[in-house]
Amino acid sequence: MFSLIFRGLATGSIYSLTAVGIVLILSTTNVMNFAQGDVGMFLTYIAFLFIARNVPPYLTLPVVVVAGILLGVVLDRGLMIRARRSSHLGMVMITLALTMILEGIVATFFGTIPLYFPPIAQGDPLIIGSVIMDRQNILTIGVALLIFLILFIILYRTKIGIAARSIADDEYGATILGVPINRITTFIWALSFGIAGIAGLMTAPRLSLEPSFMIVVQLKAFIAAVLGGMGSITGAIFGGLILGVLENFIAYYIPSIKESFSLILVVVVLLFLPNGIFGRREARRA
Amino acid sequence: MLRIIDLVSGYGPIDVLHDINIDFKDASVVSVLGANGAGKSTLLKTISHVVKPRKGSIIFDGVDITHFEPSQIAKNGIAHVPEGRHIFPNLTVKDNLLVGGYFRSKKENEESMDFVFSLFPVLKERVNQQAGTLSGGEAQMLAIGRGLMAKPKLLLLDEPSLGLAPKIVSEIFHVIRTLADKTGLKVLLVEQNARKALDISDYAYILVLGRIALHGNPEDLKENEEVKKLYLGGKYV
Amino acid sequence: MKKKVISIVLGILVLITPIILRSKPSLISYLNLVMIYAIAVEGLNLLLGVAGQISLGHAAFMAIGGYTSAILVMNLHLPSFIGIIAGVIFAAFFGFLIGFPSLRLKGFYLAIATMALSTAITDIIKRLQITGSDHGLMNIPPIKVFNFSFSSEISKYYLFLAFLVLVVILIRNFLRGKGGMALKAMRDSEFGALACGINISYYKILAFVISSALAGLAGALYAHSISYLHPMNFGLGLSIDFLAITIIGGLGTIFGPILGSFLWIILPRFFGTSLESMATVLFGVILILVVLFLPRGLYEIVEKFDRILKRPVGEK
Repeated sequence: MFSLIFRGLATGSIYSLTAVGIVLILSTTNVMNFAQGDVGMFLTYIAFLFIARNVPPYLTLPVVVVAGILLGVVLDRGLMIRARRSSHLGMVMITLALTMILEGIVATFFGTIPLYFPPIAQGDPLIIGSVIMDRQNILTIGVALLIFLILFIILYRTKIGIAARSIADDEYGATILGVPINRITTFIWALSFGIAGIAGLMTAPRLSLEPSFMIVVQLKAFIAAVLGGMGSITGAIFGGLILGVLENFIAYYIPSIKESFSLILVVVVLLFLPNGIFGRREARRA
Repeated sequence: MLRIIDLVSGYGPIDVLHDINIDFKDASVVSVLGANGAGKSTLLKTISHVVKPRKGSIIFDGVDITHFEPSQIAKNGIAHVPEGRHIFPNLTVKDNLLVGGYFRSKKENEESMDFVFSLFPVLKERVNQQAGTLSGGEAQMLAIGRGLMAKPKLLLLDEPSLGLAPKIVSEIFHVIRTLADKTGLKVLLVEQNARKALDISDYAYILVLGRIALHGNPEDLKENEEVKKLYLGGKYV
Repeated sequence: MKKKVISIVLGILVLITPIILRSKPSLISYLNLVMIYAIAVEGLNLLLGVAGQISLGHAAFMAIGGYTSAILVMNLHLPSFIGIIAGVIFAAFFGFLIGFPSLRLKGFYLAIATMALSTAITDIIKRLQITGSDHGLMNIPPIKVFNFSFSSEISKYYLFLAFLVLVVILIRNFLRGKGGMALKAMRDSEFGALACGINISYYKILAFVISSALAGLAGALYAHSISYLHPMNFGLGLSIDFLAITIIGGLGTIFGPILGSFLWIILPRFFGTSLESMATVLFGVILILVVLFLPRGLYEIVEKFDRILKRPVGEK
């Protein structure tokens, strides 16, 4: 039973990471990034290039983060700045267009055949009592916790992080104080993409590398974010972890509804629990 | 100090302000009064460049700031405390202040924060509380304190009395006047509460439908029949 | 005058194209796919461009229409036209159901909900035996009317053309009528529409019903044309493609969906099979350019020609 929880936490960590990336961007720029999963996918393929050249797998972690940060900066400065003047629908379409571009580039250079991606943590699972803990899962949870910790330090203890939260709270107020909105927004995109890269990197060994491998994860991440109230990072983290654990339990005990469960859940939550399970923040709905 | 010359400004296809001329000269606290919709907030927003001026110029300390970016204006010594306060509800009082001092060094911010706490002791009590839990008056104090963190030479105050009990309003206005007297800070105050504003001002302008209808010393204005008429919704003279 | 001539010329071209191409049925089959897509996108265009509702679930309705028709014809041996009608109704019914969440959700949140619901639908399709579960449905018979089988590409061309023309006429009439006005009013300002006494709930659900019915029709035609259905083909990817086609073609216009579908299906053919994925990249770029610079889609270019044509002779 605890093994189930443990595995659920590992899956949930990936959901949380992706969800956090989405919420970061949403709360500071009001853009729903439907490309968050595919960005992670793209960055993981870049990491794969290194793996193919026999770079040790653990180095892919920094690779993916740096590449993500660069991609985030380029994308925000190059595209999103112009895009901010568009309507809601326009922003959604732009992120969807991004998914097409990223998947297309990857398919062109790597083909669509699934590729094997080695886990960073090799070896036999750790067994403590009756709990079986796969090493890669331990790594996944550990990395996720580390990222969350770093994120909290950035958001609560650094000037730029506090300023980012101020923009999320009240963009007008921040503008009036002279806070450099554009620069901080770029920072947030870069941060979010770095996190996306890690999420992709942790997912690839479980699912095998192909252009669409992060799509389901992204959907679950949206569900996690909705569970967490869509506006809060903590909500997204807990939403993801809880979703991962719940899913694992349902997969074990009632395997037939494993996939549909979370999908129905999100609609129920969207309709009846506007502030998510954690009830923070105002509802940004109809 | 601050000189505004023939300013025209507005939103979209509409010009809201026409031919605005304001000169601080030696005054410390200048009020801009007028009814709702007269364009008072627009004036402040134009000075801090949230709204771009369309014609005319703004000279601050001898520098033409008419075409500066909002962040440049903030860095150059003008702080805008907006209407409705716009504090950051999910940030602590301390973090709110820190954002106000975004462009200042850590040391400067520490000093500024101490100064703000001396003006508004209640903020010190609530320093680690979330700003969303503050009362209206405390929020206004926080907004002003936040503006002061930038160590401005000119403070733009937009309707600080809005939604506040008279006693708190008096308290805040008293602090503003003391601030101006003791530190040489200049204040451009926009208000609907004409009486209280005139009490602490050295000079005042009356805005009606986007134009300066009248200006002068507070004592003269208080006696002025036109002022009384204008405030009762009379026509532009 | 000029416009009429051009319309007639175009009309004749459209009618004789398959005859010109009769030696290359594969080319005709692409045109058939264009028309199937166009029908589906007309529906999405109505929902998105006119009613302003973001739906990431359009492909699921197409799947419902296709599977319903295929199963009824194959398993129950019902005639094709009943299969098609059933497909449309069934898809419309699901559209009706999904219309309800749309009453409470807006923008991003509706997108997420439709994304989740459509993934759930394709998931269920993947599980059921009757739909062929993981293997898909194969050997779906072509549409048969009075002993005539629409199995050749040319016959399918004219059949689909007829359906497409019918759909376009129906939509044009709807848009010109009360329904169209209501939807447009709602898109621009829900509050304003409410103030004018328009029953928002009714029209939102109506928009979903009509658009999913059209997707269902497209799905049924697809099923009997391609003869093979697999749930993976009707996932989020296709829904996103439909959205892209709607925007690129021209949001809110009647011919935009046709233009967009044409571009979508035909353009990749120029890339060859090895570079097909680059076509996706190109479309992504086009989509971004359209959103940023050409909000009324490619149809705006057509309209520009239209204006040039309307100028009196002698003017430059």
